[in-house]
Amino acid sequence: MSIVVEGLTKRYGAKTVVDDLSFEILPGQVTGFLGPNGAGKSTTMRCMVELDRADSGTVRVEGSRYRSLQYPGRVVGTLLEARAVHPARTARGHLRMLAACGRITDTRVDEVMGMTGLSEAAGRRVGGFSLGMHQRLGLAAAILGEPTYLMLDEPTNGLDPEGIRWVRDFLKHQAAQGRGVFVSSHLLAELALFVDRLIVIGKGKLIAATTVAELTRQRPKDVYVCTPRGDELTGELRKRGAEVTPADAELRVTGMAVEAVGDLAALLGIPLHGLRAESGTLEDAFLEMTAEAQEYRSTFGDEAVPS
Amino acid sequence: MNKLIRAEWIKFSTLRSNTILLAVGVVLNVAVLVFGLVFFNRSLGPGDPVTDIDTRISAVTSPLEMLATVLGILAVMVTASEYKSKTVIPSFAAAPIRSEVIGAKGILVAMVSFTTAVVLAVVNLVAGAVTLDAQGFPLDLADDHLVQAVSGAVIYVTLAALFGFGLGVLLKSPVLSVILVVAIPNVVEPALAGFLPDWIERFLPFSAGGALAAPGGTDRLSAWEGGGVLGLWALVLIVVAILVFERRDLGNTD
Repeated sequence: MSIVVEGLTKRYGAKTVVDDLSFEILPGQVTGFLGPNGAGKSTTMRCMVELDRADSGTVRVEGSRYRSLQYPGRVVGTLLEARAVHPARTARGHLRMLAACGRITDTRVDEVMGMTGLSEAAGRRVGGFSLGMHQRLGLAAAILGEPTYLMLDEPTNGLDPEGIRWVRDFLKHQAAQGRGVFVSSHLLAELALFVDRLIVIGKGKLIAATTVAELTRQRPKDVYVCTPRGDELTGELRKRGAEVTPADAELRVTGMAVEAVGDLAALLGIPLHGLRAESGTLEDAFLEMTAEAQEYRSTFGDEAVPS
Repeated sequence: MNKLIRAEWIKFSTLRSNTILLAVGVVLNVAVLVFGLVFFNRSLGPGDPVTDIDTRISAVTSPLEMLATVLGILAVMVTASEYKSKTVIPSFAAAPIRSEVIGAKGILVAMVSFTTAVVLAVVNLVAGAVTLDAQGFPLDLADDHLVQAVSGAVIYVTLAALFGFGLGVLLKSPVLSVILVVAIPNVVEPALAGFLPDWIERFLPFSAGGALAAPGGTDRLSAWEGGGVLGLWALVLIVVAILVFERRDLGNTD
């Protein structure tokens, strides 16, 4: 049993926002949904629960269409937009109106408010809530029906570090209870700490469906060398096909193993003051992967946005 | 379906703006009623205002026309407030079959409008009968025209609210919907009345529907024919609105 997305395509006018996207979400796992801003993550999620009408493709939740589920909120709990609340309604009123659709009791409404730390604010109008409280209310709504899956669109966006940590712990706790969590972010660092699998998209297309470990493993390692005879070594390395760029006081060597670099220096009698191999950060991996699919690029700082 | 009507009732009753709008409708009705009854003696109209039974009946039913416009606005807000606040997103994620949700909203609008109209019709009738009797112009409660006009006015209010509801679902802009709800019966139709051929005019929704609350109907249509025309307008509007709404992207609200 799982959620299967197959060939999902969504166009707004002439622009294809989601392009033949296929992936699977398994229960009991945390699946990160990663991509730069504008990659089509939100649109994909909205199409999955049929808020936006897909142009083609299918979504099957445990074998059936989302709209055919008798109580959708008991199978897939969603938080797509934390600000989507009526400012004049109380937190409790907001949850009660959603609970009614799934025949969920007021007792459960009070329970989820307790779990998200909103009990004190239950009778307050949502209009006065901070962004953090909006996110908590959204999470409370998502878990109302004790669903098999949670689908959350950027639940930590705009939160302060404390709020981000709270949301992460909350999601970890939900996952530990066996819930399949599907959570999007444009920041890998936010997801890397607790996801089991990663679905990476760019420009609406699937770039990778992988695990964090695999993503790290696949990355070729760079070699950093520190030597007083940098120019000489650079020339020799380049002769042998390696790519060399200066990095602070060091040289970064790409395309040659660390052992080979050390052996070469010894052969040439070039003294080395430092030699190490580094696989770069996951962030680099993600940025390289999605570089092609960046919606907007800056014209400076090619470190941050490789082209 | 039951669960959806319950959800709609919670949505409706947890917003104070709805209660306020209902109260405005009640106050307007009472104001028009009092004005009509106090000045009944001195009013001048077609026929003899003193002896014409139909004029006495109108004093009871005409306040409900005010209510119809206010409830039309209220009915627009039932959908428009969800758009404006983006609660369409959690709402329709929780209940993805849109026609059912719209159906539940429509039933809620009909129930709220009908109940309010019945209560106010009774209030108007009792107040009217007592006051007019004291002035020496008794109302015969078993009069055919009275029964038709009062029950017709209740149906008129309900259908007018459903018409507004259809507009609110069809159009994304609450402002436009509210303007149309107020303007169509009060500005557009009276303005058109001058130069449209008679056979077209009789099919305009509100001038036709007005026959419901007019004692004995109008010279163009009987009460039930007029009600049929307005009802058909509301029905077609709601069906078209559902068809359009079914295909709309609800999540992409920016």
